[in-house]
Amino acid sequence: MIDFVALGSAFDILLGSWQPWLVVIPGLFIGLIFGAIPGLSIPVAMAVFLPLTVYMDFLPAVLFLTAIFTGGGFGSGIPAILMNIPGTASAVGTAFDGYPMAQQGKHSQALGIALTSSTVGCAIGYIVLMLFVNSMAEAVLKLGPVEMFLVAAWGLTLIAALGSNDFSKGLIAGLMGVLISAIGMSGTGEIRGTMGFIYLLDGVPAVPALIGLFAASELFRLIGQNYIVSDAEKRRISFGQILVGVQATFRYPGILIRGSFIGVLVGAIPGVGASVANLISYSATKRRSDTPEAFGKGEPGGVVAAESANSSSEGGSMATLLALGLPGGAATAVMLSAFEMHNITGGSRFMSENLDIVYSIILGNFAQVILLFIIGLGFVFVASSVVRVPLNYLIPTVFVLAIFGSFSLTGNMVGPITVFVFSLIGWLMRRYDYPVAAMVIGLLLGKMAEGELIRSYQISGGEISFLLQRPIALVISALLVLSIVLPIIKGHRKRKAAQIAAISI
Amino acid sequence: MSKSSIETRLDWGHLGLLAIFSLATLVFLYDTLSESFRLENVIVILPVSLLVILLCAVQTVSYFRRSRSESSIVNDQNLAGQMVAVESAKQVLKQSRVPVFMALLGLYVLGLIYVAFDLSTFLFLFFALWLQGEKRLVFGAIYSAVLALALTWGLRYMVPFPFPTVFF
Repeated sequence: MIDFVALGSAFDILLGSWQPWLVVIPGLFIGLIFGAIPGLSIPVAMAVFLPLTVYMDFLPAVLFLTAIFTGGGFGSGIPAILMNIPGTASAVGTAFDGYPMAQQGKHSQALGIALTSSTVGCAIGYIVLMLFVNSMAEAVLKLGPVEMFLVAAWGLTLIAALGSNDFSKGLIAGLMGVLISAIGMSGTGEIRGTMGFIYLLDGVPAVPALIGLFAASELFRLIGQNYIVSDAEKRRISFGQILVGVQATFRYPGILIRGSFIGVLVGAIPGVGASVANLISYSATKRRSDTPEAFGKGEPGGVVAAESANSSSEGGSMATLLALGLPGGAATAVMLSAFEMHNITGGSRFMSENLDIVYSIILGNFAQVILLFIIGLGFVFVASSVVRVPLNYLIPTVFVLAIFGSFSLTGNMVGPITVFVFSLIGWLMRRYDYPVAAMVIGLLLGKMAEGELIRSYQISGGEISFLLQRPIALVISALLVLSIVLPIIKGHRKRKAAQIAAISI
Repeated sequence: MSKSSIETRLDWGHLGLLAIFSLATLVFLYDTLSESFRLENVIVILPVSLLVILLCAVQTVSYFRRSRSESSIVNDQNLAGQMVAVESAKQVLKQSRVPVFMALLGLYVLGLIYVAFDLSTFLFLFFALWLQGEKRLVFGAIYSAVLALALTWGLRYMVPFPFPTVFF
């Protein structure tokens, strides 16, 4: 599994020169800042700073970009916790329990939990990458549309878990999200729901829509209040409480490890990545919990599940990039550009001829994880002061940042208009108790589910027996069914036991 | 219980939202079916649309049932009803700022398209601060100007796309 000669060479490369390390800390800071500002995504940060890598050697260039990737992976969780506005789609699950914790005055703890889960998740992702880089890449090649559809379907099942007060409201919101995601030109060339607007041919941009939905539901609700946390005593910024959060993370080892593995596996699938991984992990954790009703109300385990998965998916996406030369998402696509700028092509030949460089990248990322933890502690301490900023300044400022960020994502006015329109929808939905998160999940996964379902249908010719020829699909199907059925059986048994106990009293 | 008491308990906003969801779904379904009846085109949209319309109908019926039962409870609890009314009056006053803020946000987005990024951002920030109760107008103006200019400069530096500005 590990070539120890190449591993030794990797240590020599990394310890023999200070040059690769020079770019890591600035990279982490850039990632943290871009991730923490809603709308400014990690790929945007990497694309902006990509030209700088021309002047670097290959290894520092890749370490610089992975530092942005790593920093951004955690950074996006900060506004999700403090303001209920996920910096990117990968932090949607973090907001579910992180923000309720912040409202209870546990913002420092929530940030400590998110930072630790993120760093541990990222480290596990890279350990898995180091051990199984080749086998992971081979497994990815065996995945087809059936398996991809099942992964999307798994993520979509979270919709059912979100309408806890009124199941049908959650379902309406989620299904509306699926329909909105289908607007534009379909994979088979049909144009649907564009109302003649040429800008909608590419569909509704998901990230500006999610910013609008989350930002509206929260910022509009906060109008008239003075601070995010109403109790002055609870607004205190405490480094001690951040450390309490760090410690608290290790009370959830099962969630941490499961989330990390879900992240690395889902992250390895091209086109899926962190935005799906955090939802699947959150969903799996909530279903397996003995107290699922505590989720969404400030349950630390929810933050651990989402953050460990979205960070470990980085390791998975690097596996397909290094071993196959395939970018799993926008961030790794930018990294692929850096490869090309240095005349390097990822793939099996690159792996066999440059295993020492591959190990250097992986080991360099371990060091980045440790640095992220140290820098992150200081960063979250400063960032948590958001709760002390008066809302009359914070609300307009965040709106402007969201509008600018959405423009930078789409490159035209579709981004800002989308934020505005979905702001209104989000506010209305929240007012009448429709979970906006369910609509976001439908929006993020709907298009993928539809595309993969169509491809599965085309390949199989509509024969269900085709599924029996796909062992990975059968395993995912079994896991999916178990993840839905087991909590129902568990809940039924619990209710029965409670009834028996009540009768015996 | 009189018919008018049920009517006063109805929240037309919620019913309006359900109507918007249903209508938008119907329009989208019609548009999809007029494009093509191919299975690939309707494989997700047709079942999902029908389910949304069904759920909206169920939600509307159950909403009317809930409203009826809540009305009788409120009639039985006069004092509690009055307290709720005072609280909701405060809430209404607070919430009245929301539509104004929404309109301001809409004007801001229009301003980005038809005026300029820096000027529109300055105006949005300034009026939003004023709307939020900022009494120090000079400080508000300075804050708005500095933030608007800094963000516009940052955006100009960062993105390759053209956008209208006054100063950069």
